[in-house]
Amino acid sequence: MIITNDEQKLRDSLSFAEPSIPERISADPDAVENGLAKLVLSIIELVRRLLEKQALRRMDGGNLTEEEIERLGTALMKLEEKMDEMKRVFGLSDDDLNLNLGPVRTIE
Amino acid sequence: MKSIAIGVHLLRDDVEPVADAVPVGDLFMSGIAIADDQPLSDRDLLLRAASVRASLLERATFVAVRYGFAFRTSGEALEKCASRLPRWKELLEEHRARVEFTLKVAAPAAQRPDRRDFESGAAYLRALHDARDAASVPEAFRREVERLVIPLAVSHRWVNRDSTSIELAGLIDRDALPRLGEAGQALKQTVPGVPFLLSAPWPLEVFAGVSS
Repeated sequence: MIITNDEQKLRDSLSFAEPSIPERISADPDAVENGLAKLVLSIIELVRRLLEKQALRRMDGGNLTEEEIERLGTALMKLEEKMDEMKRVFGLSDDDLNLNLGPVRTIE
Repeated sequence: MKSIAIGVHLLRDDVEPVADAVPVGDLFMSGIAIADDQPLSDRDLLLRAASVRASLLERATFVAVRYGFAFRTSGEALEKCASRLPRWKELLEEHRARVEFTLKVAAPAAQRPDRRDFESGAAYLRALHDARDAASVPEAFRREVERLVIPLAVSHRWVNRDSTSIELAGLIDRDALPRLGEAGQALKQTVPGVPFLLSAPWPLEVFAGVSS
């Protein structure tokens, strides 16, 4: 049983991330790099969000040491910094990398 | 050959012949045999695992094992879950006629901390944690959920999944599922502006502590 008040978004989500991932990569030499970058960075961004969620979940578990919390937090900061750098290089915004995964937009 | 774990069950008959039943302590782990070199990300395998999972749930409630755990021997399977088996046995006996449901709700985005404001990784991670926990369900929606859905649940808990969505996980008697469906339809009418996704039935996961 699945009930949602946003059926169109649910239908869209079944086509897996179409708004974000281009169907084809343009062969135009000026655009090809950007299209590929969008595709790759979208996937890296998804993985980054999953890592962040997992880190928060591990905190919920309450069995991380202070040193582990520091290490995880620092790793997330560095990863975010690197993503920002790459988005700048390819002229991409957060919205460009926002995978549409379901009617509740942040279901991951 | 290796096996992909699907769940942990109370009785062998809950598993066979839909899947292989591997004894783990007093309980049984269901598995589907695959070739050693078959990638777990194989689409057909994912669909097969989902179909077996649904068939097993139709037979009896079980504790879900997150997709991706593969084992070769019952010893390996036991090692994965030994410490939790007594609790799971208790849960499976108590909730044999029940299943989980989830209601995922979009929450107004809480302010995300800016990493540039932090010098320590620990402080940043704690700020992310606080931001996630600050997300809350719109009050009108929560009232309607308390009126329509929660009375059907034997037990429930709100879980902050991330900074923009919250999930209500509930345990419900199998025979109350049609009424849960009616409650979901009513929720669509009474609070149309809040995106939500109500789904059921699911094996025991939140209430079995699988995600912690």
